[in-house]
Amino acid sequence: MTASPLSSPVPEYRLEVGDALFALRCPQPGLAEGLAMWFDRPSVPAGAGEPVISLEITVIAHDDQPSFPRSLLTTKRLLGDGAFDISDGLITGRFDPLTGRGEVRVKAALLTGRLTRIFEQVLYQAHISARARMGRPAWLVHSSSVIVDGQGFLFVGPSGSGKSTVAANSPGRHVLGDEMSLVRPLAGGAGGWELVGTPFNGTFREKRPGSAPLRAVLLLEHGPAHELGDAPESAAVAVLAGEIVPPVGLDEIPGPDTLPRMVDAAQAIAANTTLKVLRFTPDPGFWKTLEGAFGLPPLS
Amino acid sequence: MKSINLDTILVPNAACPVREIGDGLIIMAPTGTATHTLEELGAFVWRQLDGQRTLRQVAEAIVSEYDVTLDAAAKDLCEFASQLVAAELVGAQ
Repeated sequence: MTASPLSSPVPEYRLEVGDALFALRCPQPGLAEGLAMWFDRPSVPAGAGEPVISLEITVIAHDDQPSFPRSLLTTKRLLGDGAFDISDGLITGRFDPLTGRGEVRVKAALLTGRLTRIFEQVLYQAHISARARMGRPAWLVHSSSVIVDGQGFLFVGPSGSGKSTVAANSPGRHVLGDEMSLVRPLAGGAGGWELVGTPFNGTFREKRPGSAPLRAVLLLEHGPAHELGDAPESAAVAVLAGEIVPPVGLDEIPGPDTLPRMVDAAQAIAANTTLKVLRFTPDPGFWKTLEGAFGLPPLS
Repeated sequence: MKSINLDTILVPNAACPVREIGDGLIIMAPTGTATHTLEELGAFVWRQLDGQRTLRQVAEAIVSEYDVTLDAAAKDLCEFASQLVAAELVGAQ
């Protein structure tokens, strides 16, 4: 069947993660607009670049009450020929790594309110597939990130360590986000890393896009006072590795090399930046500590 | 599980990837779901585990390198060895 010249093109929401452009084709009415609202940014204009990943997203009506895994990777199964199933039909799809094209069918409940954050993990996997196609490494890191004086600060730690608290206590500063940041090699091959904001959502909604050379990685711990300290290098790298999104693409599941690649990435990041432990209380006073340690100008 | 004593020989689990990080090590669980970090002394012990030496010989190596008595080293080493075995990072013979 050929398309009628009168037929409308399939609505598309284009989203950029770092320099990886995704085209999310949304044939169902309202879905593209809903994604734009969720990510709080308009679709990247057509002509601004060629998408490296193109996914057709279909929302499936259902009358069951699905369970929602914390990680979509733990319940993912490969079905052959690029097809996959996550959590017994919660998400199904197919992806061709050669063309970068695929389809994702998701039960409607997963695109409801905060549960959409779980759906975002599909796009984490799409990002891994995109990087493989682009041949340029970059790592998504569960983190808060803030730019100060043109320098990027990455705050990492396990759930509950205070990533969103850092963002909420950085008024007047350029907060890239409180959920997911991108770390990629600085252009020019001079060593070092660049910190880039991503569209992925935590609880902090005043995030702004941007990027800056990575100045420091700060491992968050709650403490009785604001204090910057050292950690054994192996422990610090292990913490950072644990916050790196597993390098598992849409057509993959975790394998024996997944965790070693995360550790290797953390070690590479650590080799070219400063790692410190930041013990802090939930107030903006930790910035005084960072200003003193890193020679940053106070907030004017 | 085999009881751990100073005649025990520990054999690193070949399925566990290991990375040298500074003075320490990161050892990954065979299931690929967890990392274990060893700092300087733990890493020193790990490097002694060649599948030949007994824990008594490893304790003697610790004493020759660090300011600690043989009794104290042996006690801590057996406890540490039990943790390594429980985490399936080593096998005990």
